[in-house]
Order: sequence, then structure tokens, then C-alpha cells
Amino acid sequence: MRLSVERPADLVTRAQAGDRGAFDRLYTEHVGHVYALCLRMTADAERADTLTQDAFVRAWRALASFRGQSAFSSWLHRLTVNVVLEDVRRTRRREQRVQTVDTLERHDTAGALADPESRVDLERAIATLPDGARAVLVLYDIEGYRQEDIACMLGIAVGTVKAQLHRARRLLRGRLSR
Amino acid sequence: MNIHPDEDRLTELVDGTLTAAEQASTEAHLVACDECRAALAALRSLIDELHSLPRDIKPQRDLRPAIWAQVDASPGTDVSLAAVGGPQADVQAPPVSAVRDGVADPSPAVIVLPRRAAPRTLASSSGWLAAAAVALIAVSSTVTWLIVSPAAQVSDGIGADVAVTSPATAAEVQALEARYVLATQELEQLLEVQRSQLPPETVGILEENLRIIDRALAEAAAALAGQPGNADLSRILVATWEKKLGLLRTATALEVGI
Repeated sequence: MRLSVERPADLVTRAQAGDRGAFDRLYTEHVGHVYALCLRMTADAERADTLTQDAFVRAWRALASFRGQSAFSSWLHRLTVNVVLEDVRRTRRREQRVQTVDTLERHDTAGALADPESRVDLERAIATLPDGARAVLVLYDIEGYRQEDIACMLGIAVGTVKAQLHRARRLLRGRLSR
Repeated sequence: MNIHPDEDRLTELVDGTLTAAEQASTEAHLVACDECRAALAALRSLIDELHSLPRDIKPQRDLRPAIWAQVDASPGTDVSLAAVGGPQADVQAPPVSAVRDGVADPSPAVIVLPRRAAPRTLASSSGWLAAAAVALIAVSSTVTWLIVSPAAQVSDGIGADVAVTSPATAAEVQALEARYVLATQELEQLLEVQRSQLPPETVGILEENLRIIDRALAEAAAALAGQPGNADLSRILVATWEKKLGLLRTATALEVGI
């Protein structure tokens, strides 16, 4: 019996043709990264659920425009960033951070820092950062975007990105050293 | 450099964004300053920890049922179809790569910014009012059907917004939903034309409320899919559609002044 391993590109092609099963598999493969981004950017577990849902709904509707010029994961990730930033701009929510910390503590820590307590402390500190500083820190230090790209996404100057990044790191160091 | 570099300078040193001269002077200071070396080490440790955070966190529940329910409940404009060949393609390609340092695929990303068609302003089209009037008539006819439909009767008094007679069968629910979808889509299209005339705060509140209602619709539809024929769920679903319809009618009526 020969086992066949479906390539991600094949799944995307099938999903583009309307195959919901293929899209379900794409969801399974990518939901962790999408949700992590939403959760860290909003510091709100309930909101992260909604935004993750929105991101995949939009991805399904926009699939035909994906032409494979980048990895599907990159495309989906940028789409998710757009979804989150639209929401942040619209709602300016600042509450429910305690709930986020609880959620992070409950999640599987496989692959995390060697010391799980350190990771929880760090996630907790990130969740308490001011919105702007947190967004820049997550996009730069965790997600790996360039400062110029972050400036474009957030509609701010590169200098402001740097200032927010410095502020975020300074606050984190202060809160972690308490 | 004899003056201690501040934290911003150290951060830029770590990020490699200092000029060559700034970097040289900062490093020269670090050679002779234990305090600043310790601060730099702490900063690097923090950044290493941030880089080590897991990139994946699984949500607490499977979101797929809600995703498909939302897709089915609010078909809306299929952005993907518009992007392929429609005259109002809604695709933007960013000028820059999305990622740096090889963290992800550095090839130029095709970025889709799902959004509705750009609203037209009153000043830009003399036919706008006529189009709006035609749209309102069309909407009114659908809404009228909903109002007079036995399945959508609303009672008077306290709780009127949830006292909607539920359809008796799954088929009736499906038929009624199709009508609601049509009516709300028409109103949403009209609202889209009008949104540029609304204050941003109003648009924000409206969109937030619509989001809440859409989520409730998705959850109700998902629940009903698991229990077809459940009268309570049917009633909740219809009542939620009524909420959405009412909100949209209010918003469009306020804008047009009817």
C-alpha cells in the first residue's frame, strides 16, 4: 500500500475549487499561528476567537486571489494581521487582559521556553503592555516583520515604530524584574 | 564614548540599526563599562526569550463549525471572485516583503485586504439619489414580505423583539433564512453606498453591532444544524435575523432621512 502525502499547494488548489475538506485541513495546519497572533495582539481570548474565525472566513472568500507568489502561510498571516489591525482600530479594546493570561497558562507549552514559568511571566507581561507598544513588539520581536513593514501596516512612521518597540522592551524588562 | 548609552541606544545596537560611528562608540564604551554590558546582556536575554515563544497556540475550541456557519449565514460579497476578474477587484499588493531575516517566505506576498467596494459620494454621482431610491423600493418590497409573512410576525409589548413565531419545519426555516439573507444583503449594499456620509464613530458602532449579530446568527445556525426542527433554536435564529434587519433598516433610514 502506498501512502500519499498531500502537498500544501494541493490543499490550496482543492480549497480554491470549493473543497471544504481541504480548507478544513488548512485550518488545522495554520490555526495555531493565526490564533497566537490574534491572542497576543488583542490580549483578549474571546476576541482572539472571533478574529481567528473572521480571518478564516475571509481567507475562504479570498482564496481565488491567492496565486501562490508567496507561501500560503505568509498570505494567511498577512490577511490575519489586516483583520486584527482593522479590529484594533475600530474597537480600541483595552480590557480582559487577565483572561488572556489565564488562557495562555492553560495552553500546551510544548516548544516553549525551557522554564514554563518564565514563559507565562513573559506572556503575562506582554499582555499588560499598552496597545500600541504591544502591537509593535508582537509584530517585530515575535512575528519577525521588518520595522518598515510594521510602519506601513500601522500607518505610523518608522521612528514611531522604533519608539514603541523601545518602550515595549523597557516596560517588559521593568515588569519582569519585579 | 564616556557617557552611558541609554536603553534606546542599546536596543538599536541589538537590532543593528545604529550607524557605523554610533555602533563603534557604543561598543567602545561597553568594553570598559560593566554596568552597560550587564544591561545589554539583559536586553539580549529578553529578546532571545521573545524569539523563543511558541508561534502556535491552539484555540480552546474547534472554530470550524462557527466558520462554516458564518460563511453560510452571511454569504456576502465573494471577495475572491471579485479579485479574479471583476471590475471592482479588491486586491492590493504591498510594495514590500512581509517578513524579514528569513523568518518566513521572503518572496513578495500578494496581500488581500478584504473590504467592500469603495463607497461613492453624493458629490461624485448625480445618479446616487435615484439609485438609492430604487434600492430602497426594492428593499422595502422584501422587508414588506418579511413583515407580512406568518413566520415572521412580531407581537406587541414586552419582549416583542424575541416573540417571533417560529417556522414549523426545517424547510420553512431554510426558506425564511433565504429571505432574510436577501433582505439584509440589499440593506447592506445600500448602507455601503451611504457609509461615507456617516460619522466614523457611527460606522464603528454599527459595524461592531453587526459583528455581534452575525456571530449570534452563526452560532444559532450551527446549533440548529445539529438539532433540526428545534423550535426554540428556530425562534432564536429568526429573532436574531430580525435584530439584524432592524439595525440595518434603522441605519439606512437615518442616513437617507426617511
